[in-house]
Amino acid sequence: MKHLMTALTIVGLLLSMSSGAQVPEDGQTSRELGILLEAPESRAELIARGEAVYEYWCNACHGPEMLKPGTAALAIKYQGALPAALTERTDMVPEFVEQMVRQGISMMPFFRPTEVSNADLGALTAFLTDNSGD
Amino acid sequence: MAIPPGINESDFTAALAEFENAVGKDWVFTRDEDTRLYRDAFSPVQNEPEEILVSAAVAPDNVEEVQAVVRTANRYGVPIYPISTGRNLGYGGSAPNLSGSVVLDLKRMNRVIEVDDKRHFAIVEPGVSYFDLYRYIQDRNLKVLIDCPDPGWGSVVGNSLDHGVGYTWGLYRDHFIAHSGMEVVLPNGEIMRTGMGALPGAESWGDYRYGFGPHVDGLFSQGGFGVVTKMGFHLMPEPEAYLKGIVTVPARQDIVDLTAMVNQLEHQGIIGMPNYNTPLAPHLATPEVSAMLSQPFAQAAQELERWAQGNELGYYSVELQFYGPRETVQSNWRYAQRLIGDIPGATFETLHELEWPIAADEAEGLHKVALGIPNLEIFRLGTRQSADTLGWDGEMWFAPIIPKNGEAVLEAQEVFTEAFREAGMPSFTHPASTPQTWMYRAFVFLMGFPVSKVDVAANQRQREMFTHLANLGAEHGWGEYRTPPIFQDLVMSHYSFNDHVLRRFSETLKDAVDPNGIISAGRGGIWPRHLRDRSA
Repeated sequence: MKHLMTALTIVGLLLSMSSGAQVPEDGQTSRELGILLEAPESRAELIARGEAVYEYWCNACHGPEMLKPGTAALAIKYQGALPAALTERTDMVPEFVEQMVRQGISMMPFFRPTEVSNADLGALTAFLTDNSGD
Repeated sequence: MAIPPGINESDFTAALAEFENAVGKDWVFTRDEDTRLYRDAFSPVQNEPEEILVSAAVAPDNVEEVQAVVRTANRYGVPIYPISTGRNLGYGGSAPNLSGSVVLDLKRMNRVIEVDDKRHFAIVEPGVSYFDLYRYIQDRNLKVLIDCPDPGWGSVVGNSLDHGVGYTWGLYRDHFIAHSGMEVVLPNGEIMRTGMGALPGAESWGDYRYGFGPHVDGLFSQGGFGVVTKMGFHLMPEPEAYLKGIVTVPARQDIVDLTAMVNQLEHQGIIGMPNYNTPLAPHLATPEVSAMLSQPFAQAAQELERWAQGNELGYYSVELQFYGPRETVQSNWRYAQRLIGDIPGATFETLHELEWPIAADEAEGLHKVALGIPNLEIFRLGTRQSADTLGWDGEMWFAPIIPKNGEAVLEAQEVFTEAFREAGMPSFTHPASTPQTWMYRAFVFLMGFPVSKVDVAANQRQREMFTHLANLGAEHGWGEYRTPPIFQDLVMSHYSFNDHVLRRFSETLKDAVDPNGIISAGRGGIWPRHLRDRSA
């Protein structure tokens, strides 16, 4: 876990909350997710990180509710042949997840390493493919 | 490796090495697989020679790193293009105006510096999205509402600098007007603060936007005069109650009285954002109505109105949103009904009544942004519409400002619908089209032009029509408030009073502030001197 924390660049949470109402300096900050630059050592940590990445970056479009645009679009595309919600899929392979994130499809734009770093993409891929082949 | 225009390879290599020293090797991107992520994801010139590509991207973590990058760029003459979160989809995304620019990606600068729920402001860095600011406020149980655009993933700072807009009350939804003070890295690398931020020791950065002297903040919106690294924003206090009612009126001409009455409500602060629509919307694609609409405008309008009245559907609707104490919202809704009740045949219905704190399940299915809740549900409108078509791959927004009255709406309906008919294209407008109301004091007659990732010919047709409508609109005094980079020179050319003095004045300032022309060349139609011929 120590390794995970040092690998994260979540400096904000570690800084003192000292801002007050002065002309603002970097003090009280909010950088809840941070950006992962190195993969965690354990698979459990990797998948937990992947879930956090999913919640932060993917869930707003791909959550299970049919109001979510990604889920609504996939329901139309797959017509029941596959689940519309990504977390219910068991068929995804890492290359597919990586391609969707880095290339986008239809209205879904691509995501950059300043948003989803390569290490975070690895964690996300691990999370989304964790149940594949079960 | 792509090289920016106007710089030799050895200088660019040296500049990149300095960028790496400034921000770390992990945060300088030069490989194609990374730089292509700074294309406009909704580019209307995708895979055509005009598509704007970038040579590299640099992602600093803090203002000192921004200064170092800007100083290097200035020394070598490297064109840079700052982005906040790089969304701005439909208006250019993350792509610069000048191909080969280095993108200065500020996404990592995502600190919420301060939120005050007693004086009602926030101070944030450019990488903070509406989702981030909302979570920050929720996690700390602060009693302020954010005003966000439909897509919640965009930058609070970036949206404001693009003159972006939202959905709640009055001036809060004009995100540039709602700002209060900024920190800017100038093209020579100096840090400047505006408003009260310019006064050392002042505690009122987020309160009073002007400070003293010329108010220069506007230069950094839709412009290339510096890199904004912090901004303050006024926030609305969390109200007690929300009420949404809908008014329907039966006749096409009713829009004249209706807009006057709704303006009367809004400009007194009685309602938040009004949402005009037409109850005919679900019927427009039926064979009967679409045949009607294919006729010349006057006849189409007459038959559509007769059809609407025969089916008792109403012709226009407007949703009125009330924010405030629970007694006041009820009372204001009654006043609105008394006022608009003068229009013969007007009907009224209360749609939603909520009180804060609003639980997630209460907001489900509602227009969440009107309640200050960021989301991405708007993209349902553009995503796959059926199993056998992909629908749009993206869109570009045609967004002309028209006066905030019914006469302008009626004229815009006719001018634009006839233009589509004459061009033999399916029309995005019709005799019951209604304006967008994001701006507190103007209407936007918005149209979304579809763009394709694969169909170059279709994109070319859409661009031609976009250009035609922009020119046509300008002839009627309607100009875009925001537009994709490929149209920015055109749109600036329409703002031509007194031999384009507005553009010439901005160019004079540009040459003085950014003599090497390194920052956002061409943004807002303002080019540095050495590139000015290209836009002539």
